Amino acid sequence: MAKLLNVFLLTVSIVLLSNINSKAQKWVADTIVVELSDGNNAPAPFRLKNIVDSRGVHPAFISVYEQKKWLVFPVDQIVYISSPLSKILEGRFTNDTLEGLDFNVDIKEYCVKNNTSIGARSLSLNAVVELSKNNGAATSFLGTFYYSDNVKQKKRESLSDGYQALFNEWANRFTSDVIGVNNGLDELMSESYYHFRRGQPAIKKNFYVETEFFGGLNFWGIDAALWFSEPESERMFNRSTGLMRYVEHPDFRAIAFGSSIPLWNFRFTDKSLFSHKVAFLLGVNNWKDMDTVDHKLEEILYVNMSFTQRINFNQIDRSGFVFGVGLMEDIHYVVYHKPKIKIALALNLAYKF
Amino acid sequence: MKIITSIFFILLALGAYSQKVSLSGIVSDAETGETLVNAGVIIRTGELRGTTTDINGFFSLPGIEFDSFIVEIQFVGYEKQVHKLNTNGKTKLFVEVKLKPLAYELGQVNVTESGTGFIGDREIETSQHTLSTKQIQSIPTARNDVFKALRYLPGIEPTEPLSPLVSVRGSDPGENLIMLDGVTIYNPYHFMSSSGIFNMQTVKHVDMMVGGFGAEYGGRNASVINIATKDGNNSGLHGEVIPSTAESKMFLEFPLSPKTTMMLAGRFNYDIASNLMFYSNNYFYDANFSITHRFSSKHRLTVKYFGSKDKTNLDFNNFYRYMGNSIGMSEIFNEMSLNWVNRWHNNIATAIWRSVISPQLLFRAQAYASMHRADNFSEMKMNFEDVVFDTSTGFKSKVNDYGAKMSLVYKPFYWNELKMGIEYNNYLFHNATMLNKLDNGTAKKEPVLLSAFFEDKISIGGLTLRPGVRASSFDGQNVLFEPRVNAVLKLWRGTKIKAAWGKYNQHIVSMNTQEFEFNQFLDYYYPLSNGLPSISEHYIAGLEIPLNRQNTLSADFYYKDIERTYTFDLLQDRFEVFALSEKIVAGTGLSYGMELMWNGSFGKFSGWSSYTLSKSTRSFPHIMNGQQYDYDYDRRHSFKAVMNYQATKRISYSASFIAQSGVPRSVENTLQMYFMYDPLTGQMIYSPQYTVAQKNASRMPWLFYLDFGLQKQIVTGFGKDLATFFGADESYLVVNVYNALFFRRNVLYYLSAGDLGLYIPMGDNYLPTVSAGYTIKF
Repeated sequence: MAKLLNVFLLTVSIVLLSNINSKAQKWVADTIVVELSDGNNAPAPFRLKNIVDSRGVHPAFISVYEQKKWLVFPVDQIVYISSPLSKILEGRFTNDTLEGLDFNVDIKEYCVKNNTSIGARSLSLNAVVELSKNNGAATSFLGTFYYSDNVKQKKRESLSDGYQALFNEWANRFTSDVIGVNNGLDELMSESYYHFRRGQPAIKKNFYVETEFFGGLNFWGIDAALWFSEPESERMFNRSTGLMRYVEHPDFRAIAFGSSIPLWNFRFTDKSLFSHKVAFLLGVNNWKDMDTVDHKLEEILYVNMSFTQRINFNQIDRSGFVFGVGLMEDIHYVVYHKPKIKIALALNLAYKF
Repeated sequence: MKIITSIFFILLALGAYSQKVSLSGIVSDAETGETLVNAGVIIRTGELRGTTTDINGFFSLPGIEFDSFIVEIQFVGYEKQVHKLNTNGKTKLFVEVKLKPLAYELGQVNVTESGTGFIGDREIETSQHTLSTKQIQSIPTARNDVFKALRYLPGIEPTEPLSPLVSVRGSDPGENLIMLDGVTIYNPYHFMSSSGIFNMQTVKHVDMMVGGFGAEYGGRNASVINIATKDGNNSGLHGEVIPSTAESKMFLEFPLSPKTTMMLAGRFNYDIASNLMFYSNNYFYDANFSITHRFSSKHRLTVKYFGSKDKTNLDFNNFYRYMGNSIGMSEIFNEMSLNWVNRWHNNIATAIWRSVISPQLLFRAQAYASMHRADNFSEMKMNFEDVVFDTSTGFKSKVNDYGAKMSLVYKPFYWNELKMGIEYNNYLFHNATMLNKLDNGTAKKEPVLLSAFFEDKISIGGLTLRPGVRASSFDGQNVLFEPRVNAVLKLWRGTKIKAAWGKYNQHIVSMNTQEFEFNQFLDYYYPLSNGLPSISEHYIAGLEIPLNRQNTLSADFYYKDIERTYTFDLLQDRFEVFALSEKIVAGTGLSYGMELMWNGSFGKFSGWSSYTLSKSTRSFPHIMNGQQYDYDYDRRHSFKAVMNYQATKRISYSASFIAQSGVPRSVENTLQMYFMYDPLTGQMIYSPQYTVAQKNASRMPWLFYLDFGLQKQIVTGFGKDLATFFGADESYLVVNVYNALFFRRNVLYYLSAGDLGLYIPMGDNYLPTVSAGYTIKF
């Protein structure tokens, strides 16, 4: 009987183990495939003749996002479409009857971000596409499009439908953009410069090495940050950065960290940029008055929130030094102490690679 | 000795008169140029005959009877090569084989290993383990630490949780010979984090023999650990950058010319949080440099340098104040301080020459300098009104080891291999000890060690025997001999029975300061100049059963008779004996045990697990009148497992688990106080001395550790952008979760609460921690 029980337990274990092994893929599966059709119900007003995908990723790659399995385990979801992106574009922008309006595109960037946060489900597209026109045997380079489109996902909308809707919206916009560029409309509207850089090849992301010194009446500090910024595709744009802050107050000094610090930007001119930074940071501090005041262990925790508005010398699409000046409002909290609000002058210095 | 020498010359003569063809060569990686060890070379013509490459990637197959024959070269993880060779009347053929690696899969833990610089003869050594960098990186706790990784192998146990020292098969940590590229390194550890001194990016592999090692290695009784570093890649610039707020690392390897390669690496660790919160200034750095020039395929020169420095100044005064205020005991805690001030350096430089003199003769010469300096001070201080409680230790140690060694490998027949070598070491040892700020003895000695070894490996059918002898003279004393023999019998389907016996002498011992320092981080080495070295005799039997191509089961049984061992009786003060040499006490010991191990892979899982049952005892005349007691590092049961799950090509998950019985400790039950009046300050200073009737009478509870890890190739985000910016090929995110079993506290020691009659359990890792970082490879 005991032997039978052992055999049974062994069999169950093997079955469970092999089952786990085969199902485990689903729990770490980093690849899902969504159906995406070219959505070509009507012939396009032009034809994409040569489509080059130089993204340096799988030709069918379209998106990557993170999901929490069982609310704990982070699992990457890499999204592939059912056929290569270039094929989808080719199918969408085809017109067998049209003669003489042929374009070539080079896809430098095409990636959808899937925001799965509750209440803020959305899909956003970052795309960089170089456009050239076929003039018989010759080709003339026209310029580069930059897109950062965002669509909210409807309730119960499937991932495929969401991607399809975003793709259709982009494709419609791209159609009118190409026609507009072909007709020279972009040269009439200065605002469209951010969206289409005529005659300029695609620009890579900029790498910022940034420091910001701030000083108020009785405190000072310094921020350090490393971050990447996509080329600006609108006059107003958002970026985010990680941040490390060192600060000296009269009675303590602290070091604090934050991630995904939002930066809202507005470009005044080709050389000047307004930025608004909202930083929420957590850190530890060191009390200077330990000899006279009995501080408790929990008082080493430091919570900091700050808002910084500044005007920077920051040349669009160009590497080099970036510097600026602004105002900072600082709120910090330490257990057993009242929150304090302070104002400081902020001086920014960065190098944009 | 005369008989052995005669046999050697007869074999030499036989080899010289042989008119058959001798094939020899070097097998290397076609992409990196690194030589490959243990690659198989098989003659497919006539009677099947084969050999494997040695430590230098060199192989020799004498006695081939054909003018034209087919040779096959293969190695796990590489494409097999088959060549037809014609002798064209020559009797000596030399070939250079470059094997092309197969496609690489992220995080796969291969049981088999590759690379150069392995120690020992893999065909015959018993109790030998090898960890590749891939294997080490699959252990969440040990991704960046050689010594943490070693703890997951059977027979290797940590001495204390915060200490990097390891005890091998119940021995003292000072009985481990640790080598970096063949050079003895003293205390290769970083502070607190139990972090190995070696930057993992530079490490090619770690090789360890936990007992029964051959005559080539000497000077230590318990084990040999060799860490081989990379020589440099000859296919272009490659490297890794690992940026972090706490520790940043960089590693580069590249060709300087078609024949010269170089490797550079550096690491800097700075403890920002401790500095800010507790004014504790702690940092360490290390740097590696290697340059290899291949004069030809037969001659190669390598020059390597390694340097490191640790500085810590841990002051718990602020922490105690915070704690005291939090729990309402500020009067006690505000006047309490625990302070560690530690500094140590290591500097190593070596030059290695390797030459294939003839198809049957390989020559290796190495000159080196290894310099170590340590200065450690710890003090615990408490103030109660006019009385000061003050106890402190201070240990200073300096070791300079200048040496040179040469070895010859001669293979007269395919079934016979002779190996011999000599080594010269010129040492300087300088030690100073302070207990409670009183001089407890100093010593400065400059001994010379001369040693030589001879080994003969003979293969007859399925039996391989390797008798050998090591002779050494330390500090001008008599020559002492250490005979050793290893045997392997190959049975059906790859099953092997292994056995080893050997005698091991150790002329340099280390002070056991575990009961004096608050945490013993380092060994303090001390030379024995009395001509009576520490002696142990190893008896080992092992069985290795390959279950299939991927899985192996092994069992090792060992018995270690420690005929003579030493410890320091540091409690004798200067009024009893002044010289440090008079505080050393000889004793005896015994260690025995059984180690069972599985390693291999099934499906997407790979890894290893082991169980060890062991016992280790010591006996010293000044401890319990010579009565035998369980040794400080005796662990009765130990279960360890490392598992890696390659979920996809991009993602691998790993887990490591340890469950082991606690070590014996002397939990004090009597407190003696030594009082001293300081006329200058008017204070009464007292130093406590805890005593216990029986040493190591209490065994600590079982310990359990479980860690998880994740490594994934990044396709988007900051890490990917950073990789693109630097023009790197790949970027990885590495996430580790430590101490997943935090809800069960691991008690490491029970601290006596004096008159209250309480024993406070002390542990470490009270909370789980998570670490995350990027690795950028190019």
